[in-house]
Amino acid sequence: MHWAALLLDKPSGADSTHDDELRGLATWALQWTPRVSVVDAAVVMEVEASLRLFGGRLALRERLRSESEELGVAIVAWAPTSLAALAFARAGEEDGFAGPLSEGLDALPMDVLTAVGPHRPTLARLGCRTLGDLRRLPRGGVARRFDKALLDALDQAYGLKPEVHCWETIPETFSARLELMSRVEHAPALLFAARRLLLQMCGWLASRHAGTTAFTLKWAHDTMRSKSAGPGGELTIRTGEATRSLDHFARLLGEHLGKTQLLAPAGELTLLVDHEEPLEERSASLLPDTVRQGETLREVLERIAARVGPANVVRPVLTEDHRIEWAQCWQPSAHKSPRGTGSIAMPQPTWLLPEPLALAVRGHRPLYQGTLQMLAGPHRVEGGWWDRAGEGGREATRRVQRDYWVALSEHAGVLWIFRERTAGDDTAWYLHGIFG
Amino acid sequence: MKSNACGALLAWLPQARPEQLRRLQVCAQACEGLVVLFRPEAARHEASAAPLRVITSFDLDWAVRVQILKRKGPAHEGTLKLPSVPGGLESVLTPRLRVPSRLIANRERADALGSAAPRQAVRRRLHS
Repeated sequence: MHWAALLLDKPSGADSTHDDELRGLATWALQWTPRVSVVDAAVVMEVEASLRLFGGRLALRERLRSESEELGVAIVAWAPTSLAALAFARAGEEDGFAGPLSEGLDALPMDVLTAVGPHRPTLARLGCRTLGDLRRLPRGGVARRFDKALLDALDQAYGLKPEVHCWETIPETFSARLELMSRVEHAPALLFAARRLLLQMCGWLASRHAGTTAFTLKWAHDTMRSKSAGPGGELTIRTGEATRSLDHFARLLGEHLGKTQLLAPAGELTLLVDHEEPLEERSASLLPDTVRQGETLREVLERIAARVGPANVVRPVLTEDHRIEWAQCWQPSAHKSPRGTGSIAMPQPTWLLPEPLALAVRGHRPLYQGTLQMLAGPHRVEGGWWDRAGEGGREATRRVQRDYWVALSEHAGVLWIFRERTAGDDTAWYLHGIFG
Repeated sequence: MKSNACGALLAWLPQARPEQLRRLQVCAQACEGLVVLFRPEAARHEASAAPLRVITSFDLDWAVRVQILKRKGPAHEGTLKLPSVPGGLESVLTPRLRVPSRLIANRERADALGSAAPRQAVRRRLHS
């Protein structure tokens, strides 16, 4: 058995805040192992079966220590039993595996076991200071003079008696609350505290093998607010694809908070997961492959869109239309990219003018920076009577009747020009695109 | 560029200042992908931190003329002429159209599409 005990920073507080933090910590811990329990204001977890999954004992210890530090955990202690791990954590020692368990425990002060608490004055008068002293007392006498819980706790800590735990379960919905240390007046400063909640959320998502596409950060204004400020505010963050990358969440939240104005100082944060989806993870490969550093393109685009507005990050999309103006459109990049449509066999220019440019004509020939040399054509594009644009009375069909030509100009390069066929006898030539 | 998430990055920056270009260049060095800036030809006389600077212009006979302003190593004199047919046009080019400069040169003497009234030429082609 390989137990870890996680002790929070402020052990004395038995109020609701402390309870919330313990609950959050337990939820976060469930990503490492299903055997997590809350015992005596600390979280204990059994990770024997998870050692290999997370790359061995040392790697797991290192990860646990660095990640739990962000959640406000003061110390992570390891031992073969949960009570022993807790005892080591309270005594400020990390590694209960350094020597034989009984030797290590014997040296600890007896306060580290919660069961000692009620009998502490009596035991102190008996001359007991350490667990070793307590263990040397005659068992029969201890059992008669003190209660059964003391002997049980002692035996369980030393591994002589099996422990019974009430295991934590993964909550169906995620909601975490955090009371801020001080009143926060600027929205970007909320990110630091929100990161702790995000970490819990990622733990919850990991234990459910899920990712999220939408989560909400709510903040409550403190009681000294002005009446107009209202009770608080909230911010919903959406991502294009389900993910549980902490860094990505933090970056997105940072971008959004950077644009948010707090109406009053905030005193409390709540984080909710609005929508979760199952997430398939890539398994680690045997061979070291070229690990991508930094964000993926999708994450980058989402972050840029959060900064400059979703309408300003667009991607081109082909649509089924033979009229060049409507054969493509620009969509916000957050939309799913549709499957590509078949290409048109006609020559298509690299650059398209926003509006066709009317060309001068001399002797039935269009001019653009000199006489044009026709190379290929005509390619006829016709139709569009079904496509109506405009409102009410000014409605007009976007019908086109054009003969396209590929023309060469000595100065301007290869051009795409067309002749409007509805112009009657007046030949109307337009420049529509330029070949790159 | 900083996130190193793209395979290539093209940017049109007609008014970039030299110090901005220097910052971009520092970022581009850390990026694995290709980074290309397009600037107006008037910018050729301004200093730039880019390691490779080229001027491209078009050539009549389906080619691109490339002039190297700056590169690593000794300066390159002269112009490179790289064959280039715009995408999609390859299929409609006949052998005669492969050398348009010849077409233009003898346009005055005889020409198939241009010299006669083009409107009639079009009609004939469409009705035939």
